[in-house]
Amino acid sequence: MSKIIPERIREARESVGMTDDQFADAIGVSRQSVGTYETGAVSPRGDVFSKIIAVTRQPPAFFTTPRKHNAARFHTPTWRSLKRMQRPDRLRIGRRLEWAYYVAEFMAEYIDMPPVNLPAIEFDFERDGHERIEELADQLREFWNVGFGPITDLAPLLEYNGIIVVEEPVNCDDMDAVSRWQGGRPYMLYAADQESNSRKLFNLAHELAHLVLHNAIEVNSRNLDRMENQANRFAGAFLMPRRTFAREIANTSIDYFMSLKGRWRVAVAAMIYRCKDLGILNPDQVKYLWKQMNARGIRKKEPLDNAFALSRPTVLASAAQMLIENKIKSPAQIAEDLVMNADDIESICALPRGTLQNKVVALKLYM
Amino acid sequence: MTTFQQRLESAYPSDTYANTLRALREGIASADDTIKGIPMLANDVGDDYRGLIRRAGILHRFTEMCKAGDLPFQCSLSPMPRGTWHWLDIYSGDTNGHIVRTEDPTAFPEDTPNRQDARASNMPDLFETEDERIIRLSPPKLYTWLCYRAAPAGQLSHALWQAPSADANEWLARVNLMVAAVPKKSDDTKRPGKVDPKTKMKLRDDVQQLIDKNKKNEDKK
Repeated sequence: MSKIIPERIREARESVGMTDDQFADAIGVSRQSVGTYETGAVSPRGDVFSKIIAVTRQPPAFFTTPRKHNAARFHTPTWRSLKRMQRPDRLRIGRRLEWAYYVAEFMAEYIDMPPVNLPAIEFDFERDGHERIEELADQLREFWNVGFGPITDLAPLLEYNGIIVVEEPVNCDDMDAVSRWQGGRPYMLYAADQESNSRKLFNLAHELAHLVLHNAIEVNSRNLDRMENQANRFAGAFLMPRRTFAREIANTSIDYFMSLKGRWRVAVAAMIYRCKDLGILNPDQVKYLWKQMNARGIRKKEPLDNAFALSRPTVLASAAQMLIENKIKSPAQIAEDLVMNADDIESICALPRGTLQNKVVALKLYM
Repeated sequence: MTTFQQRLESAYPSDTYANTLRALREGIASADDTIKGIPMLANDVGDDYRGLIRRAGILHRFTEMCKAGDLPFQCSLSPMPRGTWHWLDIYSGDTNGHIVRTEDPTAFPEDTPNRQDARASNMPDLFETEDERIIRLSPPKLYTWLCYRAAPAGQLSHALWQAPSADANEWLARVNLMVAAVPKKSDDTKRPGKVDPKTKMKLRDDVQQLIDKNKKNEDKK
């Protein structure tokens, strides 16, 4: 048997969201043993290894095959809702983002992926204020040539401009989205199980803000609030540009915001924050509107949240289909080469379940 | 010769329909919110005034959107020639117009002296030549109405640009903004078009060459 790579045991454990203790229980060893496996001090016995495979649902090769690309050197990702998240969830979802990198790098060996198309911006995270963020949001719209009207669908626009976007159920109420630059390309993962499309739209814009503004910044507990604040301001400015959105505020009642929601697709709550940022609403008016929303029971779940559809990401799925259609790889080979559970790859790529479990060997040309 | 219909469509092109409907809808919503938010009006008396307040909301919103460039028309509030009321003069190309409420898409607005005078300008000029032929000349300015109506709950039930004849209850030209086949871009000219990320993907050149080479080899066999 090939030698087990200790880090892979940790990776596999984290990918299923288990703590050391939970993992030790699941594979029938002590917590200390798990530690020794993950540091490489001791290699698991055959029967334990079988249990590790069963618990983590990864193929044996996952634990023994070195990868061409290494994600270890990347910055800590930026999380939407970090403070509330439990550590195992954070690690689990972080691994998904890392795996998206391996999948995209694998595809890029055969396919030219959409080139990264983001403007070179100068942003001083410590000193620049909201005015600069407003300018940068406008600058990005101009750079992408999307005008200043409502942006009704964001995932295809992000992917078109080279950002790898993954939509997955994250089974974690406290996590909306996560992003990070990995190997010269921006990556973003957002929760498919977030019920509100308006909120999804804002989450994508929020993560876009981190990718644009905070590329070189290592997130920590001291700068987190500032980063989140800046990302929210950018997301608001990007989705509701000052020059166009502000002039549509003919009225500041909940009903009126609701009518604007049909057009701008963002939540009423986000519009209220935006109006506050732009000085259209004073703090007392904002307080009054929150009370109104509470009284109507729409503070957490608003009407029209899903009155419109959002497109799912398509780039990774298209890449996989191109490999299969051009007979470069068979579905099973994609899973084999990526040395990962096919279900995981399908989920990351947004491929229909079972696509990569097709064992039928396609006509030759495999490389 | 340009027809009345062509003149109307040229003055109010299809890419303005979406924002014209927006001006009407937002004006109505804003007026209804005003009524709801003012205790003095949030009652049956407020309902009595709803039509007038909606009119104020629409004129205000239309003016704001013209000022902001969302609607490419010139407009200004001016006193009506008779009486003490005001209306919004809208100018576009060789047309001018006003906003009026009508009962249904084909109905004419309530007949008033001001409206009679305004529509009289749609009378074709008649010239009699020496050989007694009558030549009709189209009026230099086409007078138009933006006719609308909204349900009590606020939904717009119709919205049409229409040019009335000068003296009979006939339409010289009309376009229904709510059913017109609007080209996609008119929904909002500033809205980004759908992009397809796949258009930015292709097989790498070396991979494509290998595929081509293998295909050639297979063909030879």
